[in-house]
Amino acid sequence: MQFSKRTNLIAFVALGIALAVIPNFLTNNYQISIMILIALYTILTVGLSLLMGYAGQISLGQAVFYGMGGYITAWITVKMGLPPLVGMLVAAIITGAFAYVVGIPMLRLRGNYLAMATLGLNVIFELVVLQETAWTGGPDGFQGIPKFSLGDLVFKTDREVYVLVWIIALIVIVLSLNIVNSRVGRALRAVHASEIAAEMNGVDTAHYKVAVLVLSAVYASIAGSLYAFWNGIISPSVYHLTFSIELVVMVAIGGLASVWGAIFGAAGVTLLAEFLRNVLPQLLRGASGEQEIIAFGVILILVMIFLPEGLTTGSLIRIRKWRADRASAK
Amino acid sequence: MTDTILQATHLKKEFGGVIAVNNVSFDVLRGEIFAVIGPNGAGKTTLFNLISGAYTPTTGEIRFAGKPLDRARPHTRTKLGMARTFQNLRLFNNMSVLENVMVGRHARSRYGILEAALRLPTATREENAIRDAAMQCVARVGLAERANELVGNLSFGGQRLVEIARAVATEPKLLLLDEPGAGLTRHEVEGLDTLIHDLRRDGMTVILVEHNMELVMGIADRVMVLDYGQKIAEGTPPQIQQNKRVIAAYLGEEPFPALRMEAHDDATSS
Repeated sequence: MQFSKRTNLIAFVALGIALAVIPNFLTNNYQISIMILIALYTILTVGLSLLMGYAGQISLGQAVFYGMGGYITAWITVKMGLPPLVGMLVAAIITGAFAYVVGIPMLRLRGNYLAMATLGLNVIFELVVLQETAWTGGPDGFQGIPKFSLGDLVFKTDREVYVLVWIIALIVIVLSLNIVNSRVGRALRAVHASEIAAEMNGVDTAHYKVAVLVLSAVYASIAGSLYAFWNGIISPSVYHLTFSIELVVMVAIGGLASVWGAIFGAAGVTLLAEFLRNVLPQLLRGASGEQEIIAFGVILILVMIFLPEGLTTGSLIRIRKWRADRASAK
Repeated sequence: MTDTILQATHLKKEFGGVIAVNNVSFDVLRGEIFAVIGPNGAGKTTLFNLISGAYTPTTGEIRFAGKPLDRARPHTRTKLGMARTFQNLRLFNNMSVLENVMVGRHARSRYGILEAALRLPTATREENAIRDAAMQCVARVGLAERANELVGNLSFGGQRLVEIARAVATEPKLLLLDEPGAGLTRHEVEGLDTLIHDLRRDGMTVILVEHNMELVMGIADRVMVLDYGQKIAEGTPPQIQQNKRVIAAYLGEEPFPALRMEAHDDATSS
């Protein structure tokens, strides 16, 4: 769903203010860490929303780009001793280049086949990360990643990281909203609606599909770098296929073709996951946190049946319709 | 400068064992309205797909403005000055009327993902130009007042016009219209007739595939007839109407039914 520039601006300012105020109400590090995760997932889901929601190209392999961002950053900062900012930028460039190279053959596939190919990519990545212990640290993970810093400014505490990740998330949101409301955004939506018609109207569909994959990969890589700086250690379990699926769930729940929806999806699913992780074991004896994926499956099915446009977009459409009906009834 | 805008020589398209277009050659002159007719399954849409680049010919060659098109992808052909509409509407249903037509400006604008993301002045300036040009095309087909509605809200005839406006927005030298009259009311067909004449007056060459014989015979300078993938006739409308092979090909389908009055059409117009 498209919003006017004014609506976007108001929503953006409101989000900025909310983010500035929220830390005052957070009493412990657990709560702040959840907010940091939401920021990281926002960066990921906004990219995936451009790819999936706007351009209509599904990816079940976003965790790969997230992981590449993390591991390359770790390698550059720990093994090569270069500054964190360099690590983050180089990781983004390499990950983007990688997405470009794998994207050209993969994006020739459509629908389920593309989903399978990206899923395969994720499986391969997991194996590589587990096996290539010399490079990645294997199952033990890659340790000793430094905190992010710009000169003397070090983002050490969780509250400082909160500021860093949300500033970057807000930048990603602005850039993405600008792209969506442009010639490029129209081209992406055209590819989604009818590839052949887009092509016949002068849109180089192959180019745009690869371009948006690269963009989503760069976003994912940046999020991956930020996660690595924050956590100090990265391990293969984070980049499991289920994380890629969770990201798709976030985008689908938020509303596919909606940057704002992606943010709500990221926040909603993250909060729900934490809730389930705390509550499920008490309800079901022997249930561990891993079973939250079952709940996600159920939620995804319900959303797809009853609100196929996603929670945010779907509800907005229904509210507008309800208002219009009421207005016409008068 | 040559007078021939499109030249097809010995075009052939095979799907498995089926030959959809067989050894078809024809020239389309600059500024003319050229119609392609033929019974169902004669290969008309396949021919359009070959010209617009959706298919590559099995053998044969197409030259556009003197240059061979070879395997040029459709978007390249659009940039060269070719545009088409579809028999079954292919609009971008997730967009408004104006946005659909703005996509048509894609080949005539160039700012990319970076300029868009940073909203650089070049992007803003170009975006305004895109909007203005698209709005003119929307107004031209008479949909100015509905520019901001989702295309899905428009009637079938309205959606047809959006497709034409979108194609016109690409600034084509050659416009391919695939059954533009199908599903339109009599009143709408008359409007279409005028619109196509207008476009030609602006210097566009038009090739149309059409079943509505009244429209074809009234509007076309020349008509080519396909049957089972082969060209069986080419000539002016009167020549075609008297051609024995054409009449034989249409046998049982009644060759030119639309030439009779169809008063009932008006009842369905809205």
